[in-house]
Amino acid sequence: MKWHYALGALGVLFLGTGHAWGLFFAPPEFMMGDVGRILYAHVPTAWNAMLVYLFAFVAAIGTLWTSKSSWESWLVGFVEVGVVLNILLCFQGAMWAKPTWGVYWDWDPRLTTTAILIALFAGVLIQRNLFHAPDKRRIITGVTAVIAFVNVPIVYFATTWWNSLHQGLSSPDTVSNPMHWPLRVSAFGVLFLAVAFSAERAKQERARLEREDTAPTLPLAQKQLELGAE
Amino acid sequence: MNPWILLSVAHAQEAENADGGEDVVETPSAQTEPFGEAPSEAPTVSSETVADPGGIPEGGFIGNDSYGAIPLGSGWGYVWAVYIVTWLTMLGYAGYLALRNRKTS
Repeated sequence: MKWHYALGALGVLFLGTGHAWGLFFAPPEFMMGDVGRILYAHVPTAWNAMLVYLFAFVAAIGTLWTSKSSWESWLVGFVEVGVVLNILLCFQGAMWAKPTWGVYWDWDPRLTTTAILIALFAGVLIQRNLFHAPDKRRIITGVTAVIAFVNVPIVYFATTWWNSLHQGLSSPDTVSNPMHWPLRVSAFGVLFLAVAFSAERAKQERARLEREDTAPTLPLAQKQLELGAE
Repeated sequence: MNPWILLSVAHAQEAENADGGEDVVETPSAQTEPFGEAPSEAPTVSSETVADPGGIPEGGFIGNDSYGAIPLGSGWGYVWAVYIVTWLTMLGYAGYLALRNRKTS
């Protein structure tokens, strides 16, 4: 069994345990009541979306530094999983905002910068399809991922720097004791799943890049056109 | 009074007073009707529902922004929507990767 399949299975176990704990055994939040249970799904997704983007940033630096397809494939894996978590995060946040704020969405600094983050990293994936020359595609993917990552600390500190409707930074230090463990277990569940998904996606991308390197997939004339365009 | 709540209310009131109304920070109003209906009045938050400044509320978390307005037992629809969509997303992405794997192998 490949290591990331085992990690994925562990992620399912942790996420299932954390979610069941948060839904059925953790106490209702003292002001929000049962709506507060969204905490155990939303906050782990948010933490891990930012963490996966950090991994993508490291992979982008590695890609630009080494020009190796292994770094590039990890970069693609992390960016894609980051975007999935980011979209999920916004949905969860909207479902929490409606009963607490009265609206699904507000153009508040945290929410706006998070939405921009989706656009930036989705752009990294989209632009990969615009370039067929491997070297050019690798460099542009790395550079755009680094540029997109600049928004991650802005998202993180948005509630500190600006007057935000969204609550401040969340951590175990700001959460009551009975809520710690379901939150932590859920967070590790999402982390394990995110890394497992990224590893699988990276494996697929690596195989694709290797095929592209070794097989003459493009007709000679098209290759010459691309080389000429550079 | 939790200073975060004051800031949030100030933010909301700034939006409401965008036509030039004065910015007044008042005691936050509670949303007594569930699911976002406009409150019929503006009840104040009792000292029992507001965290002490700097302390973690028992059974809660700092930054709680419901203003103590949601009755216990309500809002399960939103909770289930979040958890079901979270699991569907995980399953869906795993399925997408499996399909990609089958297609490329």
